[in-house]
Amino acid sequence: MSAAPQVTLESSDGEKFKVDKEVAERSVLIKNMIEDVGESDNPIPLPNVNASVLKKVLEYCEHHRGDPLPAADADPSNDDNRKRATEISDWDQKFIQVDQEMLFEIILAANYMDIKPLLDVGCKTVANMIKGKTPEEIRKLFNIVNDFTPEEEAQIKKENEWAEDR
Amino acid sequence: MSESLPDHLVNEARKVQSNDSSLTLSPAPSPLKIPELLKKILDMLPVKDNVSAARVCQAWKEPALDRLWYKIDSLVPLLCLLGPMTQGPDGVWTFKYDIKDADWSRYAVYAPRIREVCLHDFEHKTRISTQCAKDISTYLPSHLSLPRPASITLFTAAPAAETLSVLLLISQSLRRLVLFQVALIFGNAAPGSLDLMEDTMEDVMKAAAKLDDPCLEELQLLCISGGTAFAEAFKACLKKHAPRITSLMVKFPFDAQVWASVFSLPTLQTLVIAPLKFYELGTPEETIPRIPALVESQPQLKNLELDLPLREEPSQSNSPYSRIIRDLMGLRNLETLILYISLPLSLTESEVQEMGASWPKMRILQFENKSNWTGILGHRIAPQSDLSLLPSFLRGLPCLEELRVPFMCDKPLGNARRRKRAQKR
Repeated sequence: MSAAPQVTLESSDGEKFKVDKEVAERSVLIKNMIEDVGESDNPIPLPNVNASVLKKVLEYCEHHRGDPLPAADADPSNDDNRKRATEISDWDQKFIQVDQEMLFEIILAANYMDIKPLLDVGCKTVANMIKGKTPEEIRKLFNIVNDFTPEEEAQIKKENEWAEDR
Repeated sequence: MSESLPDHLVNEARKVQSNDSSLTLSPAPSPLKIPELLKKILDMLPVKDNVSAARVCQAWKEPALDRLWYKIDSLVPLLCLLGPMTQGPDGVWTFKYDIKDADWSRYAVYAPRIREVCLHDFEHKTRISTQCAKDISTYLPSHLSLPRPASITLFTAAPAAETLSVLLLISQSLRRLVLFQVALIFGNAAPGSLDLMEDTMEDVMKAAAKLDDPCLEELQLLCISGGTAFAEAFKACLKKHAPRITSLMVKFPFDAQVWASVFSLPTLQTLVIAPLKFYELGTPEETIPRIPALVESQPQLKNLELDLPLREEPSQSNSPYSRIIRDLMGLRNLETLILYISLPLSLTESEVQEMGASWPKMRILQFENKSNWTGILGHRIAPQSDLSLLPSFLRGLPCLEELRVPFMCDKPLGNARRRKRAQKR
């Protein structure tokens, strides 16, 4: 049996990762790069992703290597899609149990490398952190400065109260 | 390295980087500061959590409000922005006072965000008075517009004149129109109300037919009664939007003439069709000849769901569904075929082979021995196709993801077969 084809990825801090091509191609960015330049032994540079994040991202890709590719454009406004969107599988849940900084880095890397299912897991996790919190709790959680006047904030509340019982 | 540099040098370096688009290195921001990611995250929140999100900071306000107002199931929240409203004893909402000019500024913040309207006319919270609707269209300042939703869904079960406020919302932006008569679900339609509901649906279709240009891409209709005038309104609507329609669901009793008008849609990809009366069986002589017309005029069709329960005729020797399936083999692009059958269907090895040759892209194939729309027919048909045909399906249809055929099985499944079936499922 011949060995599966491999590619080398290089993180922003110069660390090299040799992985199966199938695993690396969970990233649409890498898949397109390989298609464009053809197969070569040169490492593929990922200047936006450092080694510790890339390691984590590749762990995800390895675990999901055989998954069917996601549908191109699931409409997020569709209720069914959103319901599905808030569910995270057990493995993914464990995988994404990291500190906020790493979570944000994974989301940025998934966005840059175009790995939609991983981006979804990351965004869902952030959405779950926001769920049920007051504006003040959300600001505190993400270190956001309140730039509303009290009147502005009260007006938004008043005009959107109808949605609170939805 | 940057840690040892003075702050101003680091900042200078960042400025240079951000001015030079060839450099991909940039300080990693929080995903919450990237508008497209923030939007994605807020879209995943339950709607009501966006009320809190909108109050977090200015940057969050816009995407959170977009999400909150994207879909509304009542016009009342929007109208409440214009002035205080009260609900009368009949449940209908009216304005307490006249609308003042300043009230429109609040309206303008929200109205353009509405993309989907889903109304249930049997729920009091959605019903506004005719006067209310009139006030809005009369006093609307010329630089503002009514919401122009891309999708309108109307569930009608207890129609009132107020439902017609939906007519105000039909515009050139409309892409999807869904009209469902849901009296049957509740089973308590008042005398004459079926006609009223039909009239409402008719009026909406007529309004859509009067738009200047074709814009509808999806039309879904479910109407138990569906008389001649309804069919005419449907035909007019379809004629106007024919160039754009990709998805059509029609469930109402209609004749061959309407059937013919359905099949002049050049871009149709998905068709769900139930042309019979509720709880009625069709006759094979009337129904079967309609199929070749469909195949000839819509060769590009990708997804087809046919609900055609047929009556048993003593004279017929073969299952009429064999004939229908054979005719449908002319649709070479089919990816989904769901056929509801009411009579036994016995498939042969050669028929399955022909299916494979005719439908190379088929992903979902179902021959269901029940009917979704035309009613539960009170009996289940004994399956007649032999389970030994299963490998032929698997071999012949390479893209198959889902197969539902009532197979007959009088001996236990071998392990190999069971495995194969499991894999395919």
